[in-house]
Amino acid sequence: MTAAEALVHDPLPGLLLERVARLEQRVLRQRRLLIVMSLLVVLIPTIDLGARAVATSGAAARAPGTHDSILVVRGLSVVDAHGTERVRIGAPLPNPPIFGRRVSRGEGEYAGIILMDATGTERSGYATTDAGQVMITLDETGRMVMNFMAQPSGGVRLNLTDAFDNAIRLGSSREGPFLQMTRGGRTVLALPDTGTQK
Amino acid sequence: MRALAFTCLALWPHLVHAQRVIREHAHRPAVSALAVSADGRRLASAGVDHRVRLWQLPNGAAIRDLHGHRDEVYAIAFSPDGALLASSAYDGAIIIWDTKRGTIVSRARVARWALAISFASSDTLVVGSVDGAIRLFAARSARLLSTCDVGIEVHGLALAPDLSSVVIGGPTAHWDLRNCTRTASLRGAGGVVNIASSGRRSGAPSAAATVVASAHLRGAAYVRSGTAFTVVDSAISERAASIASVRGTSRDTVRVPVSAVALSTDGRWLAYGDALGRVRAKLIGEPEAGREYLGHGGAISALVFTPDGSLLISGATDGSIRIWEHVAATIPR
Repeated sequence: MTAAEALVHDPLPGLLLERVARLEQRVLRQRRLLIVMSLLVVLIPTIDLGARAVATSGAAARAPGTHDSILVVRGLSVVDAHGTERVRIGAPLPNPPIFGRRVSRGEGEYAGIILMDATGTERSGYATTDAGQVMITLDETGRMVMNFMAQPSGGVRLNLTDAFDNAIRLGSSREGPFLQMTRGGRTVLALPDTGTQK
Repeated sequence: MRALAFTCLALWPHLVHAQRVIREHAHRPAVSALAVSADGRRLASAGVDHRVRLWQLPNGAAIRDLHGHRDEVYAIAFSPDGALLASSAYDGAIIIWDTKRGTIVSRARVARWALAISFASSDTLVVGSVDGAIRLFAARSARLLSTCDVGIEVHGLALAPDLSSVVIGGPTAHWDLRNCTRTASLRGAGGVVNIASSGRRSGAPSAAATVVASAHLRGAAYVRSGTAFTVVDSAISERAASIASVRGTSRDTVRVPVSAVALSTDGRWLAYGDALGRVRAKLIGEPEAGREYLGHGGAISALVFTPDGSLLISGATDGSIRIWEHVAATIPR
């Protein structure tokens, strides 16, 4: 009997080889498990942080109440590079500036937004009044040329006036629609004929 | 020299001028008012930056800043002797300053803000405010002497030294401040003053006077010369500076809104500025005689002549002040 034949026929070495093989497989599994665990240790916090960030931004966008983003002020002024006020949001709005001085806006208070040109002179506005009107206005320098107004009583009117005493006034109220055209301060068209300005 | 100046003026009316001094950032962002002392040696400026500043003339050197207002300053005036300067602000505050020391002499207040202010004498201040009243104050004590309710927002005023008449703007009218009565109304479409009828009305000021008012209302002046009224109207919406007098009415229409006017002390030169920053000066009654001053980067917000007419000073919404050589004194009558 040769030595090799002896090993084959001896059950102890075969058993050892089998155990060694099982141990090698176990070590391999544990190594894989270690790698997986290491990856999880790194990935879980990263995924968690990312998820939290996404959740936070989404929540902020969807629910402003959870992060108070409402600015509560009586007025907001936007100035240009020269320091000239160009936009004002206010309640109330200030009196209109014209070439460096403010003149009176008239009785009552206005709330809304006004636009100023490069000289700081008011040129447009979108406002409500204490009397319940809402209006959009366009001004040439120092004078209103367009006024589009809704009355609290349900009426609406549009006034267009240039610097040469020409004007168009139209609108509608409980008494019906009306149209008036003026040239040089003289009425050239009034509809309805018998109607008066509403 | 006078002949040369006149010849140059006649041949090249738009070329005979020189810019003397520039103050680019006198106020930020806008100059709102200018005034010159009676001796022509000091200039006062006011701005929406709450400041009042004093300058030397003719060189434009800064003298001092006057600190005390807490809101935009809209009107200033020197007392006849130059010892006091009055200023009014958007918050209704009126401050009378000692011009030599730069200190506050007294303070007064009006219900709304005052756009027109003038000294009737060295110790009597006349204040026209947006609340529709003209008030007289003792300048040094700020004691209210009287109130005249004129019923309209006062945007400009010019008064006779004896208070027999005051011309107020928008709509323009004469009032006798001694008894607070309206003596004449100067009314016209779009702010154009019908001076021919008002000047002849009974009760209108009869003193030898030239009265200057600006209707939309960029300041006003009172000038003694001749026997007739001259009214200058600078309604912004009219895009014109109008001159009305016994010599006839003339209008100089421009393509942009007129934003400031001034009349020379002798009543012969009208200057007006527009929204594009141009300043023009016209010899009244001689339409061809005029000149143009260019350089401002914003709308002209204030204009004033020195008493001798040698300088024309302009302020603009870009905060700059420019002092121009003006040869009014060298033009033969």
